[in-house]
Amino acid sequence: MAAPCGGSGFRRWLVLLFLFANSLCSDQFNESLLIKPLTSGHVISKFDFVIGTDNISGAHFHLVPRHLAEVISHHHVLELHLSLTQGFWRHDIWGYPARQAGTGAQLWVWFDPDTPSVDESWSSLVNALSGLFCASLNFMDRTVTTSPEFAFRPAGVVSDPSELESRLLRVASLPREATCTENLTPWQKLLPCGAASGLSTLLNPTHLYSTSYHSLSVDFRPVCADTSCSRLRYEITQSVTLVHEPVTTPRRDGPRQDWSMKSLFGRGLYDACAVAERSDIFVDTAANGSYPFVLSPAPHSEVTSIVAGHTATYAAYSVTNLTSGGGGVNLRAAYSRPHRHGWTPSLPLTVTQYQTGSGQYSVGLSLQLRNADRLSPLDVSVLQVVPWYIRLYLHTLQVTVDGQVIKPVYQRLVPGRDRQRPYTLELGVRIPAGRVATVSVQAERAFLKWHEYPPDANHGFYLPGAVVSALLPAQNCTRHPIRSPPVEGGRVFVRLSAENQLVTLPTPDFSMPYNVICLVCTVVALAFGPLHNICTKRLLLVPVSEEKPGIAARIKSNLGRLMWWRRAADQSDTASSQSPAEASQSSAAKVKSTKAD
Amino acid sequence: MLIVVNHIILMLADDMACNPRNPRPATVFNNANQHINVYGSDVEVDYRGDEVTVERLVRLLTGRLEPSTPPTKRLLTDDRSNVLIYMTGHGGDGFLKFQDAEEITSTELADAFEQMWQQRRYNNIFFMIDTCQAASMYEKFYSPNILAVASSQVGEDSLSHHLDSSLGVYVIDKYTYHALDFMEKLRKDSKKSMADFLRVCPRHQCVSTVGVRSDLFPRNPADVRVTEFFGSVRHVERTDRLVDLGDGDTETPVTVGTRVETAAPAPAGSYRYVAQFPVMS
Repeated sequence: MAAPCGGSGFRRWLVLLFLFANSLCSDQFNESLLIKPLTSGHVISKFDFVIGTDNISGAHFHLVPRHLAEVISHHHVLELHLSLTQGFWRHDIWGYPARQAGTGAQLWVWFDPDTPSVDESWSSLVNALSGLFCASLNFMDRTVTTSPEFAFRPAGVVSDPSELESRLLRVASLPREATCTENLTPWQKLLPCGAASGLSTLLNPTHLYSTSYHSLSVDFRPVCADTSCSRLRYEITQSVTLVHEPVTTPRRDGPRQDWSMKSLFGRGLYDACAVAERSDIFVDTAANGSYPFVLSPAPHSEVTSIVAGHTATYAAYSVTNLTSGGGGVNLRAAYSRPHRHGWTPSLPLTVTQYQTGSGQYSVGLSLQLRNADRLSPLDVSVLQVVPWYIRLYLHTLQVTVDGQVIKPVYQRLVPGRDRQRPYTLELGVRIPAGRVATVSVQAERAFLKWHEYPPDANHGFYLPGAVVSALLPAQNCTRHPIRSPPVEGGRVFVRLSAENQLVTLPTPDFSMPYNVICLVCTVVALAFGPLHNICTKRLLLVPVSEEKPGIAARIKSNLGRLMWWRRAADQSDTASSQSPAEASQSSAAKVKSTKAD
Repeated sequence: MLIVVNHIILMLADDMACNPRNPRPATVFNNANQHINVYGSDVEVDYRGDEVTVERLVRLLTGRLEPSTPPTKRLLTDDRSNVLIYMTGHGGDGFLKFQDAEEITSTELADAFEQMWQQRRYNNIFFMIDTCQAASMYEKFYSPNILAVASSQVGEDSLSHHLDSSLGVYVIDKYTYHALDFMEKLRKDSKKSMADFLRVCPRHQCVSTVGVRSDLFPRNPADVRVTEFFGSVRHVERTDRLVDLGDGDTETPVTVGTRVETAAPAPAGSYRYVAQFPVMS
């Protein structure tokens, strides 16, 4: 390359760069923050960073992160959904989530129909993603991966739905995976503005990881480029969902559940991302009716979103206008009435999962589905993946309502195989109006080989919670004003995770090899040794002097041993004094054992 | 920081910063007064939790990794790289404990370094170890160009520095605390030598005696700058050769590896969203 500050070479460079920029400038980036304060005092925050592009493969990228795009195009990925979550989404208090994420790491991927080997692509993909996001996703091997048929349908557009068989889908979760700063760092580096400007500056690790629920996710899917949907466009959505516990600020006439950007995120907002087409903040004012609050600075506009017959209003801010004055902006909400713990809404569907049984041999899993609607039954689709070491007795799988067994609408059971694949249960349950349906199954706990136990074996093993999907009314969902969830049959599609289960397996005592070695060596020493001696040695009588010499004589003889010049004299002394007569003078005899020859 | 983040391979067996018992999540401080958050906001942990095993460490050092291992989990060094290896934890005479379940012995480590030497995977190695009886870990080394420092001799224990009563655990070890203190005062253009660094934490500060093994190192540590191991130097080669980037046409096929990628737009057709909820009738 010619010296950069010289003549025509530099200008040609610049022209080429400009031409490139023009031809690639079709990527769009939108960022938004949705804040939803609940009547219980919790504050849900959802950051969405969306990159839309026409081109996911090739060698030149504009806003699309190159590392992610290369991983996607190299592995023939049609759709990718990854989440790293800590905490459990309490849907009974917080309503239904905007994006389902089971605790731990969860990855579901649809591959292209023309992928040569889906298994190879999957194992190569999880390794590449584990390096990209600093998470142990490489543990998502075939012992935890499944291909469900009814759950996790493609979230993006497809050209031919019949081509998408379940063999192209892989779903895996690692319930034990932790998430910390090292997952946020590479995630933020994928954003066009990184952590330098825009809404991602609010993502501060010390505040992010102090929340009761935080979830980092990456979603890649093809979408319609226009309303006629004749062209494809690709969308990469990076989102963070947080739930902050209620924090009360003391006031003269009672505590207030005021919140602000500084209390939630640790800092205010200084600017918008320069390459973002839109940078918005929305505050859901649904709770304003019962617990009114005043936002400052005042909202720029109000947005109304009607989805499935339910209207939601949001106070909207444009970040560019908000931060145009320079300095930082601290969005604040001040409540007019003192805080009393708000009522939690009664939800149409609540889900809970628990273990039953006792002892180290058998265990039972139960999933309870409650339909609060007293008028009509509710259809629910359940996916439960159980690792191979909890060996399910599939004949004990039953769905009961008030003690009576009912038949599921559909069921698909894939039995597990030791060390090869997990148990997959897919059920469609029609819960009668106002009733509770319980899906239960009995299992036995496997006794693993001693090297298969993790270092802290007595902690237990995690089972991922069941994934439950249903079509529900839109009232209780956290939804974005612009990016609404899928609506089918006048209701919103909701996917929930039940609680992860911690199951203890019978654990051997790992100190046993050490104990066995000690015991065997002791036995050998104590039993074999004397026995060998008795068998191989013979006792002989040897005369020895009767009295022990006095202390003075003993000291003298010890000193004499040290002084070499006395040794010669001693030797001549003992030689002359040694005689059979003297030896026999002693009354006591010393018995000496000699080795028999 | 003196070393670029992607030149660091960090293996953490426990999740300390985001452990539910940490009252200040995402932070690991170097002392109870919370002076420096050593976890930082741009840390990247390459091996964590159950991935940290003796087998993976030896595979990382010797390069015998599965083909699907991503580049951030590989030690991509060559014969001009200076490698710094820092190990800390519980140890004893000739071993370092991993995960409370296994240990790496000094002979295994010495053999791994010899394999690295045979494969020309390092120019110089600086080996730091902060465990009890740490000097036993470097006694078996037999490959050239290794400089080793240990926080205690055989028969001695390395001690922790101080307790943070809000956490309930000792937050840092004596040798690491003083070594970090030395490093924090260092700048990129510092002229301090390795001999200065090897003198960190004398007996009256550390109680244990710092051990040094320099017989395998060809140069005098007093002539080697600390920044040779604790800083990264980018080798920039200047060339007058012109590179043709093409005429900006995105349809031009570009060969990436063995697969020819064309940046062609997706074929037109009709696309639609599929139903998310299965049909139940």
